[in-house]
Amino acid sequence: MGSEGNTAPGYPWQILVLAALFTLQSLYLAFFLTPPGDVPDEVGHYSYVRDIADGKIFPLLGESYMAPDLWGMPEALQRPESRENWIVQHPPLYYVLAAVPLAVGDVFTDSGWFLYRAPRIVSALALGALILVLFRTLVVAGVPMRRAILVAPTIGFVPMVTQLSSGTNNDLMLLLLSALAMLYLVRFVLGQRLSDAYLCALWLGLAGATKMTAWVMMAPVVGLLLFEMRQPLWAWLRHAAGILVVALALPVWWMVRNVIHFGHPMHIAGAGTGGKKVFDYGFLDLIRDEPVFDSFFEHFYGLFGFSGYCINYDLIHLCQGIQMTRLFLFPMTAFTYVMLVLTVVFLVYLGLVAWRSIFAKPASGPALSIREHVGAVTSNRIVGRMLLGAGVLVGAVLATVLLTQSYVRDTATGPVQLWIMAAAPLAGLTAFAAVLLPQEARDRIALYGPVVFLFFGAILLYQIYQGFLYNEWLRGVHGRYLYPVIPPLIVSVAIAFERLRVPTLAYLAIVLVLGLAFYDAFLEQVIPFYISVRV
Amino acid sequence: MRRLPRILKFGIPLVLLVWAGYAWVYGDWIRGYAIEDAMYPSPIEDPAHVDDLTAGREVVQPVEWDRLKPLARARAQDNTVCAALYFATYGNRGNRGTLEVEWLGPEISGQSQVDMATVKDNKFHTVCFPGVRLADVIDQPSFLRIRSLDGELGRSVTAWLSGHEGAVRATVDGQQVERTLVYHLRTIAGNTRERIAGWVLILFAGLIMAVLVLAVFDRRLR
Repeated sequence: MGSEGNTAPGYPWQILVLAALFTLQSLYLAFFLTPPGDVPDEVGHYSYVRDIADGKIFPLLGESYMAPDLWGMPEALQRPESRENWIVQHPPLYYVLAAVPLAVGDVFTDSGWFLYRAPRIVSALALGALILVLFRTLVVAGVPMRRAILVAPTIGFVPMVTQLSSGTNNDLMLLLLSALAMLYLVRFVLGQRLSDAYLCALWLGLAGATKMTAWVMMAPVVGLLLFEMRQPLWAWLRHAAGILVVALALPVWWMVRNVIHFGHPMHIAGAGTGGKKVFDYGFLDLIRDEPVFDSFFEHFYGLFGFSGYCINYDLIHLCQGIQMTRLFLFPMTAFTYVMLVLTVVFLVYLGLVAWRSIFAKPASGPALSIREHVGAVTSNRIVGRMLLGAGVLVGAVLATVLLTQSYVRDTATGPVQLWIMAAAPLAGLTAFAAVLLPQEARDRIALYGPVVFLFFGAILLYQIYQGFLYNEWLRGVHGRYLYPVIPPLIVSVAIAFERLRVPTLAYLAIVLVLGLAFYDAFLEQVIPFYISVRV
Repeated sequence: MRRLPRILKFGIPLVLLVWAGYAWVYGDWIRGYAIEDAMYPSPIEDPAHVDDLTAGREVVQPVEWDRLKPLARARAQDNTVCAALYFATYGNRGNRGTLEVEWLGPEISGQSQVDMATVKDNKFHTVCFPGVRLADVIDQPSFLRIRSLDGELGRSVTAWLSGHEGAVRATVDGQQVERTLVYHLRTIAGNTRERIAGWVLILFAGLIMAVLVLAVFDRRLR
């Protein structure tokens, strides 16, 4: 055991150049293309950063307002009213970092053009760092460098990711911190070094200090650390407590602050206003009548817009709601079918792992972790088969329900997108059952991805359902809300490709298709959209 | 550093190849950012075409100012007016000859010519009228006239008409018809920033894809 997972070599020049190119590309978009306000909720995110740069370190929800001269418009064009800034509901870590370039910029210039874009530098750097962290994680997980170089930068070929990396928004920072947590989880599973477990917990805590959605991811990932930890009982208890303290310190601080000011640990804008459930409506009704999964899928790939000329008071009478566009045609079709290929490959791999685990021999030696204790029980063939059978059966039933009951858009890719989304419960529950049986470390890492994704997705769906009951309209179906659980999924699929010995040229073909789709999306859809809505 | 010559040997041609490919595929599109829609395209319902636009034939369409986008009315007044016309080429057969497209207004008129060999099948073809600013013609009774100067039967393009409700009818060869020309107004907005961004993005595309391909064939990587 010992040092496995901690001995990966350095970074080859290709991945350094790729990370630098994606960072430069995002910086270029940030300063020369992405219109101010056209990244999701950028008006609020920028105002939060502005508050901190001006010395208001923890602006309070309900007391923080957006500046009327937000994008430096002449006074005649500004909105006369100040709007409450709902974004200050988020924990402050990202905003403190993004305030650094803004504060430095304040010292050297009063150019609005630069200052409004200065916080975007942090998002662009986060994308570059994310590519390096994903590369490192894949290599540690056993993916050869050549293939890791192809897989890691692919995240930048998701137009939504690159768009967010060119704006003032906390999602890229959250994705980076989640990837760092995944890196140390992989290292810990392979090497059992306690420092890796504590570092994983630290990155989780920092993710929780960036966005509350990370709190949902903390439960399964901390659970995995404790599940994997091989220590004598007292040491296990001591370190379990230590890991929990490290992971939860910052989120608990934010919760306590919320309780003190608002009376609820997870207070967000619009909460506590006396809302009541407006009608009885079943979950199946929701997914049948509303484009829940369709929206998650398509918004994950690309949902552009948000403000445009709607933030310009002089033109606001022309504004028919917020202007947005989804990506479609070749980019969306290419992305959908690539996701289908990845899903099918992972399901094949999962089937092989499940089949093989039925015949696996129990591990020798004393059981020191929860995983090993559980494995001692499940290595009984009858127990193991029942467990796997239950996971597959329940997963298949849930997948069938989603496939038959969900809203499906009447497009060529609509049904395919639903198949992909419906694979989540099947993969998640089968992987959950399989990981309770004795498995090799790398296979366990691959199995954890869909388990964490399913847990996170289920909580998110529940929140969306609750929100629908109170608001009567669908909200929160943004693919970027899934970012905390994207790094585990990338690692899972990469390991599946490795185990199935998929040739490197197939990796290259997939990456190039995504790259072609990405640039086609920007050149044929995004830039024309920006032209049509710019301030 | 011994790797550098090899990288340059294969990398630079690869970058240039990808970049040239992108420029070839997307060049016209990027240059087209300069012109933006001032109207939403008209619906195409119950379509019919006017047959070959042979020499002397003409289509006249009154401009429907109520279709002008409010945003264009607010912001594009200084821009030069263009018209996007929906032609068909009979399956991209080798057409030849010239169309004259005119903007006819009470005070200001303009004209431009279209080489029929450059028209694409069932696509909008944009024609601009130098000297005609939107501010100078907006809301004035104006007409678009397409006139064939030397088109031959079997070697000319045709224009699409739409039979949707409420549209102002076109006149074909002096006879008013029950359909309207499929067209929308556009303006030359420049959009230099976006055009540069298009070229910069394909530069990044070339660099990134070249590095990805080089990585696959780098034998030192395991």
